[in-house]
Amino acid sequence: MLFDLKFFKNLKLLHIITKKHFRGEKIGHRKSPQRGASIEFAEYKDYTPGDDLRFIDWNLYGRLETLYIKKFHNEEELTVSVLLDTSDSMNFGKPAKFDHARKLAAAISYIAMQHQDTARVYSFARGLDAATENGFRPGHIHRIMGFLENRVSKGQSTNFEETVTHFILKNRRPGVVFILTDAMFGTDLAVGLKKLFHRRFEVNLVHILAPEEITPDLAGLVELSDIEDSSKVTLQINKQALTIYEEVLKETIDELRKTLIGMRMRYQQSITSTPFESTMLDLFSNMHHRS
Amino acid sequence: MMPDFLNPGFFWALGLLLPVFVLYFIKSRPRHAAVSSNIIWRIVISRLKPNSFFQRFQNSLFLILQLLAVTWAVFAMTRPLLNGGVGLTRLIIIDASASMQAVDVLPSRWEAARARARDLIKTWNGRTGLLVLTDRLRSVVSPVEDGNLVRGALDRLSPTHAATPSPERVLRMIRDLEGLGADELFLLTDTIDLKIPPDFLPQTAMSVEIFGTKSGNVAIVGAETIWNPAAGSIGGNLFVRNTNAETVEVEIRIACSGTSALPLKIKLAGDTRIAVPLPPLIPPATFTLSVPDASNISKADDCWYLSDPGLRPRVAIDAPAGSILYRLRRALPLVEFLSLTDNPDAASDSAAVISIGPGPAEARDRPSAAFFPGNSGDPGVAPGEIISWEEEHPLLAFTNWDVIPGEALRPFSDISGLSLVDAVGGTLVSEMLDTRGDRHFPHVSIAFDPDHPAFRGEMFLPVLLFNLVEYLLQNDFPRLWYPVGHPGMAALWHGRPPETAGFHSPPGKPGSRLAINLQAPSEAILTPAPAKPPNLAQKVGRRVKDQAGSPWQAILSIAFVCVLFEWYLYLRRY
Repeated sequence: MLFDLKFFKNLKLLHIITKKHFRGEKIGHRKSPQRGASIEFAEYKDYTPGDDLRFIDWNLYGRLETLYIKKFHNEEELTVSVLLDTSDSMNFGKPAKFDHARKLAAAISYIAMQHQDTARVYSFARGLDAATENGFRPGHIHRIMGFLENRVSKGQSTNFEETVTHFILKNRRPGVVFILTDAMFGTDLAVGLKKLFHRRFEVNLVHILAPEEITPDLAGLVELSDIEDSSKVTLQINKQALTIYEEVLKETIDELRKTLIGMRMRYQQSITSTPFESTMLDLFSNMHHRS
Repeated sequence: MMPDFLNPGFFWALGLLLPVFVLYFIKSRPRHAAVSSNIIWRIVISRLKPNSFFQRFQNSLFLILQLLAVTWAVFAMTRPLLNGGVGLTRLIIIDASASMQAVDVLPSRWEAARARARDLIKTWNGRTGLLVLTDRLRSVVSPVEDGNLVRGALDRLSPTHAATPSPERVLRMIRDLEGLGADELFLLTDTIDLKIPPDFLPQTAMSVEIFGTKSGNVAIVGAETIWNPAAGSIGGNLFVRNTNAETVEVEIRIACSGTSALPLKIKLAGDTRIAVPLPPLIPPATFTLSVPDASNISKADDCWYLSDPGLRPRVAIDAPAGSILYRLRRALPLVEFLSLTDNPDAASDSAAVISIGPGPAEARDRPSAAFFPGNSGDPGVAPGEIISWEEEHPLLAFTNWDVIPGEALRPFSDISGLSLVDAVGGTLVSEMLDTRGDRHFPHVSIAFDPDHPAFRGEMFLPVLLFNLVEYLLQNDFPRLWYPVGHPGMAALWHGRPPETAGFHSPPGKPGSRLAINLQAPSEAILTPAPAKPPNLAQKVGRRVKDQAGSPWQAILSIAFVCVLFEWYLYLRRY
């Protein structure tokens, strides 16, 4: 069982905070800079002919004999998109990175729906999975869980740029995007992220890594087989090779982090061996701090 | 310089390198491992430069260490002696007897033994001593560090016609070398079959190395000659021995002045010794065997020489007319015997005096022998310095003292405890050594009557008299030929007598020419003896010394360090 009651119970206190305001399609629980029809008072404004008479504050007219119109805050929903990497590389590790990512996706979706936001879960490998492109509406949490429960990683290598292009076509209105991936795309990733940046999406990249990727338990002459493209590399792995590997991994992560920061995006590393709750807390506390 | 190895057989263990190779390459087939992506690993490879020399070396480090560990371990097991015997002493005894001139081993047994001796000198870093074995054991170079010195002395050596002593005597002579404290002793010989006792020189590893493969030989092994002073000629027999199993045709060529003797042709049956009668010959004469090479591997014993040495020593006899002592004139024609009765002054210029009863006063100044007949009233010989003989006294050799009749005896009851021979409760022969300047000579007293009728027909008395004259004359006793190594020649040549057969003139005696022969039947037998490695006690003793001088523990430690280093690398995944 991937998701249980305890899983949801721990998520109730969390909610998604964005750095900027996104206009929602529908009314939600998220305060908008736009004035609207919520019950929360925002300000007064002088009456001008044409204003809706229902919003004249008659009590104030009685005291001041001047007509003022009461303005209320508008409350909109937030569109939270979760891009779940289902490429073969996500199958790596024990537990598999994909399982970890599914939990994160479910948690993020659940938190969004708890706050009347729209959660859309997309799975992608070579491209965006057509079965998920419509997203899920509030109240559809069981469908999301079912969807994630049954999702399997596909045997395709990732084409992130194509995925993003497809995603943007489906989401004209910007919102918050959580990309749950192991970021094994090479240069594709930066191009895709740049597109999201230009479309003003607030991107949170959760970099999912298995402990075996951080410190590989390999030694001697090893033929390394890429589980995505089946390419093979033979290498004598020794202390020096492992040191260089760790250096390259660190440089790669640093470069990714730098790219993300340059585009005012957030980077969160999540290692599958760490407890899921702490990953969530890290992810959301970082969002609070940065906002 | 290549080190010596105590256990060179362990070099076969280097074959273990092959399985190490095979196992390594079987084991080093790449292990398959799935990774999420090869992107990072490709960057690692580009940085690692796996084809660089250092990387290749590093990748082969396990194999190199394994090979090194095996190699060092095997090297340690072979127990190398890197110092090559530093601080130890090696003695090399090379047999220079006549049999070593046999050519069954090319170029000859002698040269093969000498080449081996050179090797032994070359491969040794300790002290080396060189001795040569002829009829005795003679030190050529005392143990020294300088191998060149020993090699030089070895090069100057040449084979002789001497006969090797009996194996027992050789063993005794070698035992006398114990004081040199040799750690190794090599006896390079051909026919000496030593029966080495188990406790023989336990501190010295003694190896007997044999040079020789065949034994077929024909040799002149002796002669029986009669000198006719009136005619000045020699007659007699020549003894020839065939050690081949088959019959051999032999020709004896005679080189002799004034004789036209044809070559003697004889057929010698297998493994026989025959006497070849000689025609009357006027010395000097040389006899040479001519035998097919296939049946005669040594030519050193194929010649025989005879000569009148030109020495005429004079012996004075003080005895009543008709005494048996005067018969010495016929028995020993090369010696001049004068009667003091006929010529009272003969004692003053004679080389020795033999008397019945106390001799003349001149007898005190030269070697003398006095017979004291039994039942006379003369007192016994006064006690003097009695020579203690380590071996049998020359006078006692070949004599059967049991035949002396009791009535002929005159026991020396007053020289108790100083006897040479004890018989019937008294002394038969006693001897006093006198010294004049640097010359020593004996005064022999014999306690019986030589003219007693009981001695007639007994060989005892002629043998005793011959021995007595030879003993008194010592170096001046004349012979028609001398065997190589005869002790009488030592004085003639002032301690360095010739060791090769032929005619030789002693220094200071220009008119004299001595015939020297290889008169040794033992040297005609060329059957190679079995080689003898050091016995168990010697091996153990030597092993203890060698192991103390072998750095095998240090080498094994290096192998162990290689293993540990490999283990360390494995643990830290190097």
